[in-house]
Amino acid sequence: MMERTQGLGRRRFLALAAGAAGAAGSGLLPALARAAQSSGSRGAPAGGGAANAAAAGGGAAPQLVKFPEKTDLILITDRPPNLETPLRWFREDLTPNEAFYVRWHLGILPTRVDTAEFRLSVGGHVERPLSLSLDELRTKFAPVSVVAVNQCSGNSRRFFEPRIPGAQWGNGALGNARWTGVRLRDLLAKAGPKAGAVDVSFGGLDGPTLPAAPPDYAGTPDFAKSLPFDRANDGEVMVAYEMNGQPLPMLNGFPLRLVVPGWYATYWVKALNEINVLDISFDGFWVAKAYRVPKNAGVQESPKDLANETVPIGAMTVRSLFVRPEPGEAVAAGAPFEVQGLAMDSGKGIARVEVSTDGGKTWAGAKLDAEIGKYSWRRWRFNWTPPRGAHRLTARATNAAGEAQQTAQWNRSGYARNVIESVDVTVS
Amino acid sequence: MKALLGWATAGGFVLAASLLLPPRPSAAQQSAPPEKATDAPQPAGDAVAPRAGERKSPSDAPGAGAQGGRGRSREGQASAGTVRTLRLPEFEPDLPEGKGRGTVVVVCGSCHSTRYITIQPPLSRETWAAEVTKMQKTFGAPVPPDKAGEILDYLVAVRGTPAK
Repeated sequence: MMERTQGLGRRRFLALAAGAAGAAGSGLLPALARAAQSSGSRGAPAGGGAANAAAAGGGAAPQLVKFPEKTDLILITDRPPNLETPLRWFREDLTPNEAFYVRWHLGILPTRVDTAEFRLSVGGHVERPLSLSLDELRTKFAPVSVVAVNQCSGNSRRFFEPRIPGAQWGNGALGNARWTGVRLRDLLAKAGPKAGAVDVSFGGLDGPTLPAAPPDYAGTPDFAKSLPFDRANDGEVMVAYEMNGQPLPMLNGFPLRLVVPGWYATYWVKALNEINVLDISFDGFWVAKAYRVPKNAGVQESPKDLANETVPIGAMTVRSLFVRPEPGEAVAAGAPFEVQGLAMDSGKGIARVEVSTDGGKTWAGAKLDAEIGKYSWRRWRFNWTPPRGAHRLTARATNAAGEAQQTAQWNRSGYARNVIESVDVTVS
Repeated sequence: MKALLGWATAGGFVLAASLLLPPRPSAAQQSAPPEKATDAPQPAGDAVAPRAGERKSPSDAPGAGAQGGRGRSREGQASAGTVRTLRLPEFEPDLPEGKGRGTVVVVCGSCHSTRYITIQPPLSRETWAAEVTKMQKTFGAPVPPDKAGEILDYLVAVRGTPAK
C-alpha cells in the first residue's frame, strides 16, 4: 500500500463541516472557528513572529527549516511543502539531493511507498498495457543518464513588478542533477502505442486535496501533466529512479520522477506511477488551465493588456544568475575577487555571458567553465579587482540560437523569468 | 486513497471522517523549531534499504524523519528495505488578529498552510477577490456562501494594498 498525507484530518473535517453548515444556513461555523483558532496556530499570541516579518517580502531574513532527508532550506510554505535552495549550494555543479528545492502543489502527497508493491502503469492508447515493478524498470530497460537543470516555472517570481500572488520564490527554485533511469521511448515502445497517439499524460502518487463529492463539492483537480507524443517519445524524456546516483528523496519524487530535459519542472512529475497514451489532446486542469503563458518568445504581457492567447509553458528561457558575491557579502577593495554565476537555457547551449561592473554601461565577457551537458547549467567566472565603494554587477547570457535575456518582463503568473539580473556590492 | 476518499457524499463524508480517522497532531506538536547544527544531512539513499531493525536517524526528529503512527506496525512486518516513509513537519504562522481570522484559519487552513497568506506581498482587493474565487471555483474550497466576504475582508486587512 502507498500512503499519502492524511486527507481527512481535523482541519479538513472542520472546514467541510463549516461548509455544510454554511450552506444549510445554520450557525455552526462560529463555534467551529473558535475551536480551530486554538489548534491552527503555533503557540504564541498573534501579531508577531518571524513568519509575519518575513511575510512582507521586504528584505526580512529567510527562515531556514529542516524537512526529512533535507538540509536547511528556505521556507516558502510548509503545507504542502515548498522549500527553496539557499544560493550557496549553487557553488557546486551538481546540487546535492539534500539541498535540492522542493515544490508540491496540493495537500495530499505520498508519505509511504512500499517499493516491493509499487507499480508504474503504462496504458491508454497502446497495444500492451504495462505494469512495471521498480526491479523490472532497472533490469529490463537500458539505463541512461543526463545532467539537467530542473527549474520551477515560477522561479524568481518575487522579483516581478507588479508583484504576483503565489509562492514567492527567489532564485533558488532550481537545481542541477544527474538523473538516471530509463528512456520513456523504451517504455512506450514496449507498450506499443497505437496509431494516432497525440499526447502522453503523467500522474503521480499525490492526490487532490479535496475529493469531488457531487453535487456539493467539485473537489480539487488532481495534479497530472501531459507532453505532446513526439516530445514524450524523443528519447530524451526519462523516467528517473536515481538523482545524483542515489534514489530520489521522498520530497523530490521517490521512487520515480519524469525528467523532461530543457523544459520547466512542472512537467517533471514526481512519484510518477501512471503514464497514459492519449489519442486526443489532454484536457486536464494543470495543462489546459494552469501553467499557461502568453504565446510570445519573451513570455510577456502587461497587467493592463493581458495576452488573449496562451499556451502551455514549455522550454526554459535563457537566463543567468549570480552565485557570488551573494547579496550583502563582504568584498575587499583592491584584491582579486572571482565573480561567479550560472547560465542555462533549454538545451541549445550557452554561447556567452557578459558582465558589467558599472551598472550596464560597459560589458566584458565572462569565462565559461567546460560544458557538462547541453541540459546542464554552465558556470561562468569573472575576475574583478574592485575599488572601494558601492558597485552594481550585472550579468547577461546569450545562447547558441542568439536568444538573450530581457531588460524587462512581466506575465500574470510570474513564469519563465529571464530578466537580466544585478547584484549590489559594497566594497570596503 | 482514491478508493478511501471516493465513496461518500458530503454528508456522510464528514461524519465518517470524524469517526474513522484520528485527528492530525496539532501544529504545535509537530512544528518544534528546526534544530540547527545537530542534524547532519542524511544521504538520500540511506532510507531506501535499511537493514531490519534500522530506522532513519532519530536526529531527524522532532517533526521530521521516520514515520510513526499507522506506518509503524506495518513497517515492522514489511520485508526489510522496501518501505520509505515521510513525516512532514509544519510551521504554521501566527495569523494577525482581525475580524474573520477564525474563519480564515478554518476554511483556508483546511487545505493549505495559512503561510500562503502571510508570504504574499500586499495585493489589491481585486487580486485577493480573484484568489478567493479561484480557491472556490478552481480548487473546490468549501467556502460557506456567507463567509467569502469575511475572508476577503481579512485578507485585505492583513495583506492588502492601501485603499485608493
